Amino acid sequence: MTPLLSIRGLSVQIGRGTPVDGIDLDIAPGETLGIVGESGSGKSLSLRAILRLLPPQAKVTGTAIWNGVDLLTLPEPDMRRVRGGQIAMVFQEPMTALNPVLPIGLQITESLGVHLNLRGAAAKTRATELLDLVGIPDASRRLSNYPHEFSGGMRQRAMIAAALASGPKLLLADEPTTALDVTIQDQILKLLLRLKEELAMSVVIVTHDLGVVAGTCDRVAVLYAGKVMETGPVRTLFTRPSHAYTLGLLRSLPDAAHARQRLEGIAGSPPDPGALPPGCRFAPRCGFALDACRIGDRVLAPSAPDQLSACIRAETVMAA
Amino acid sequence: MSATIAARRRFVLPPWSLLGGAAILLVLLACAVVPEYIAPYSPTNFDFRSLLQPPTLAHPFGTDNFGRDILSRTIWASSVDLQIAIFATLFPAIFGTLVGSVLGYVGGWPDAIFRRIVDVLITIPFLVLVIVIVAVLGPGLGNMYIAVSAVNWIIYARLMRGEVLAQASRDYAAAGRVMGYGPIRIIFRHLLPNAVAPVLVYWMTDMALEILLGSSLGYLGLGAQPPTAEWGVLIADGKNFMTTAWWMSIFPGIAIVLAGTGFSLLGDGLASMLRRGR
Repeated sequence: MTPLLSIRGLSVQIGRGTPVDGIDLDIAPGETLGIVGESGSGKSLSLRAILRLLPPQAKVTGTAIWNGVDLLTLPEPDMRRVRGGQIAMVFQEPMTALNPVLPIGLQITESLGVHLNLRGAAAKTRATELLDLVGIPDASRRLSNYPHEFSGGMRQRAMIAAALASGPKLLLADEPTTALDVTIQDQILKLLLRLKEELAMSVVIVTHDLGVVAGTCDRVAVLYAGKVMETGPVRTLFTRPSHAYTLGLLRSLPDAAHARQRLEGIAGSPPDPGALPPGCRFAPRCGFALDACRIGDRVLAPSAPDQLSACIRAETVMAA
Repeated sequence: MSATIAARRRFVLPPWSLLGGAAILLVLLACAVVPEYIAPYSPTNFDFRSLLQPPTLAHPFGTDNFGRDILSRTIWASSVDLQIAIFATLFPAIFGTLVGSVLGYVGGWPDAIFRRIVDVLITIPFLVLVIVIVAVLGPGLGNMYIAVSAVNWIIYARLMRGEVLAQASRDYAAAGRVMGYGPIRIIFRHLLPNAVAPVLVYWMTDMALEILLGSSLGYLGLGAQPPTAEWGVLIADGKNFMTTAWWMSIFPGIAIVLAGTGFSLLGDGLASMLRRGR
């Protein structure tokens, strides 16, 4: 199947650092892709780079092919039709991602007006439907409410409603549940999955929470220091990781079966994007590292069916 | 839940400073709009039987060296001074806000040029700059408006630029771009309403400042021309009689203080109300 969005060699350079360095990703129609990584691994930056939301100091290279056009070189007016119209995005902080001085309804109808040329009563009806769709009770009365009159979870729902207003084919969710309570997190994730089915979208969820990925995604990409370490179907990748970093991540998860035992964690901290180690970027923190790990470039190679790993010790890791 | 919120929104009392400022300004506004009904005498009628009279019941503020009633002149002057407050700030406030919003969002070289202009202008005292421009154009209120407008919009633009810059880094601005909105829509519909509060407050303070400036220019003979009654002109008229007829300068001076206090209180109250609205 041809991918909906095909990213090749995406790099972001800021000053002398390269926080995103040659990322290749494919997003299939109807798929939910999770992008996981620590803070500073470049996951949010990659998302914003695709939609060209980064300030001009950030130099973005590579290609992101969407419907046969490269988003990274598309002229700004065409790009504006893609943003919101075809690719939508929801943010981590529903508190700040809604305009505090405009009523919720207006923020939804505005997008309807811009992208679908829907105005007046028709737009209002559609906005009510959308709020209904994201599970906000008494939607028609809620249209005139301001963001500060909504709770955090409701705001995230409203944000999603606004993002979906124009019927996008791809929804980028940048840590959509990080700022929310655990119970609300679950509701929002279920909502995203339901909407994905109902609206036949693809969804990309960026998160540092492996639990979120396990619960929602079809496929996952693990990022470390601006590079893809491993990609594969969630089920196989989580049961048999083929990269030492993924294994480390999974082992540092607290779980009920091993309660009250010391967590393993990963020693050290991620490298500074301005001073990256040679060879595999994870090598200095890796328990599996050999001398060969500290030289040369890594490429993603098949480690299992559908699974790609940039680890030269993939087989040893899978056996561990 | 929304019912209680609606109720709360309806019954919020504006802060006392806002009410106080509004009350003072309403009185001044009444004086400015219908002085002929409020002032007991004509502001320009000479009465040589009662020259330089101290405050009495017949002339509560006393009379000047031509026998004109100071109270009536002060009341008539309020219309000139409120005009100054409005006309000297209207253009700078609106134009500066628009320019500042665009610069704050667009940035780049237009912004860099603007910042250099600000740097240069700030090294020259505002009053001196205005005096120079008025001196070149010729004295009079119209030229004073032109001079103030030419300089003052930069203050508003600078204020607005900073606010918009801060708002533009918020997520809802990014969300607007993600929705595919163009820069004009983002600047004027999303950023400006969120950034305009400090400018509104400054506008109120600025009206007080412009009245003082108008009075200073009037005092120097560059603003309103005699026999137009203007508070600064009135004070200047009284300066030769300061030791013998203090009331000539003191009462118009009090009027200036009152107007300044009114605008400041209004600005203050507006500020705290806008803060509360957040």
